[in-house]
Amino acid sequence: MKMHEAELPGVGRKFWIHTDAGEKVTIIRHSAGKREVYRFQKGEEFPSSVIELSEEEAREVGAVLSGEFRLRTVERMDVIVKEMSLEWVKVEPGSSADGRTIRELAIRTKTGISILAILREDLCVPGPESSEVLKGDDVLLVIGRPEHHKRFRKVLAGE
Amino acid sequence: MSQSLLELGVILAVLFAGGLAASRLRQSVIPAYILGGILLHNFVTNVELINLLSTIGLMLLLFFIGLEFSTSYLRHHARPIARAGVVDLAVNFPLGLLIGRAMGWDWLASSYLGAIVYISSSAVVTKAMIDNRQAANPEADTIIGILVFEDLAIVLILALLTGFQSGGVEAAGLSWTFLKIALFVTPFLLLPPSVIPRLNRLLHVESTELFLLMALAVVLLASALSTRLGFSEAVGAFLVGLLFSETAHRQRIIDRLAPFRDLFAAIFFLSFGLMIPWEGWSGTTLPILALVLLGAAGKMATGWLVCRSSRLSTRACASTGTSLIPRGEFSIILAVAAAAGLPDGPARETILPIAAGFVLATGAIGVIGMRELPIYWAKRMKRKGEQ
Repeated sequence: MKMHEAELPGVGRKFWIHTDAGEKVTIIRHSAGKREVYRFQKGEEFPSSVIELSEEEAREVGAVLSGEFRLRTVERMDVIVKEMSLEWVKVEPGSSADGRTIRELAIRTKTGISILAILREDLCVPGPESSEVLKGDDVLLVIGRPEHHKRFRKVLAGE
Repeated sequence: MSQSLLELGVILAVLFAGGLAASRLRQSVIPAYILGGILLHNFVTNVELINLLSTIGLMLLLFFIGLEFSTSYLRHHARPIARAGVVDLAVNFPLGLLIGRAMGWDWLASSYLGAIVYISSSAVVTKAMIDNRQAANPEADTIIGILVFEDLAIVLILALLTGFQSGGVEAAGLSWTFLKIALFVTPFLLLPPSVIPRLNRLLHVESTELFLLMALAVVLLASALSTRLGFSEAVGAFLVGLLFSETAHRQRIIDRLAPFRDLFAAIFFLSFGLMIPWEGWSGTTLPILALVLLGAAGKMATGWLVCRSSRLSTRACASTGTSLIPRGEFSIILAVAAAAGLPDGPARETILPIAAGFVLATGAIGVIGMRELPIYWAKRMKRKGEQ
């Protein structure tokens, strides 16, 4: 099973795959943006059906086909689209971060993470200063790319 | 002044109306623009203005063909493209050449006619292919390969013919033309890769406004240089486009300049029709008819010859031939170049109406053929199935 790819100058790019069911599925990605999916039945030179999709529609359909689609409760999470994500992270009591300031941990420079707010008991500290001392059981609202989050979790764990 | 404004306004309105009608009829807009020009022949008085605008259109057309030219595609499929392209040239060029000679034209004028008959319209064919959803068909690669070959061939043909026209066809003129082509054209084709990063830096202009001005200035100056050297403006414009197509700024240039190309190219097609006086059509019916018949047959034969070697079905071969029938922008560019440079005589007087009739007829026949052939074939298959 292999997806083939070829250029179609003046049109766009062509992708095709021969399925186990004996059919050929050809996808044309037009330079103008639209996508077409052609279904060729076994031995046929004419497509038995053509589906035309806009760029947007193709993305949604593609996500479902690849199994990556989840119904999103938030209509347009552009934050996620741009690879940035918000996460809630808890400071474990007794961990190396417990009792140290944000500056001492050098969170921004070491991990790339920005701390947007600290939830402490019933209190919220929005936009904490770098002199703020983190305490056990603090819940931090942080933003960053996946690799930032990974590094941040390591720093919190004291690695 | 107000007269020129009125004329330009009417021209744009006619282009719009013609284009709208063409898309409603699912035809290419190019023939509609030409027809608009033919209709307006007696109306437009400021010919100089229209000529300038149309020359800009010609340059931008060829600039974009260079810009969108896929060198990587040509490199990857060099052998099949070259084989199909040479067959196409060898079958179709002589047809026009012979008819030109039969009408008593000299070799240069007849060669122009040969090229006019030879060259299919990338714009019309590609659009019809997308409209009819034929781009996924097995023969699409063959058709597109031939179009890519023709894009390159036409620039060399234009350089040769316009070069001969200005330099003369005696031994001295010929060698001078070849020398000029070698010095002007080949540096663009055999560019050292180290030039591209330097070009990238040169083209890196933040302001969109200044970027636009720079790009347009380069196109116009290259075209002007091209005419100074005795070639068509189109040659210089294509070469600069080809040069820019390798840079990182390709897409930005396309996005910025495409609206200008659309506007000025439409005026170019209209101005082509505009150049033909109504009485200029007399005596051209027979040559046009002969060219259309031979031109269509030639492309069908090309489809058949090219197809046979690539193991495609009879249907695919018929489709290849039909898809190559439409002639368009290139044939017009050639006819305009011929009319501008040929010595006074019957060839110079009739080449424009002949090319116009030929382009209008082959455009319509080809596009309708591309649409109807699959329907006919499906019916035939059904009949066969029933028997």
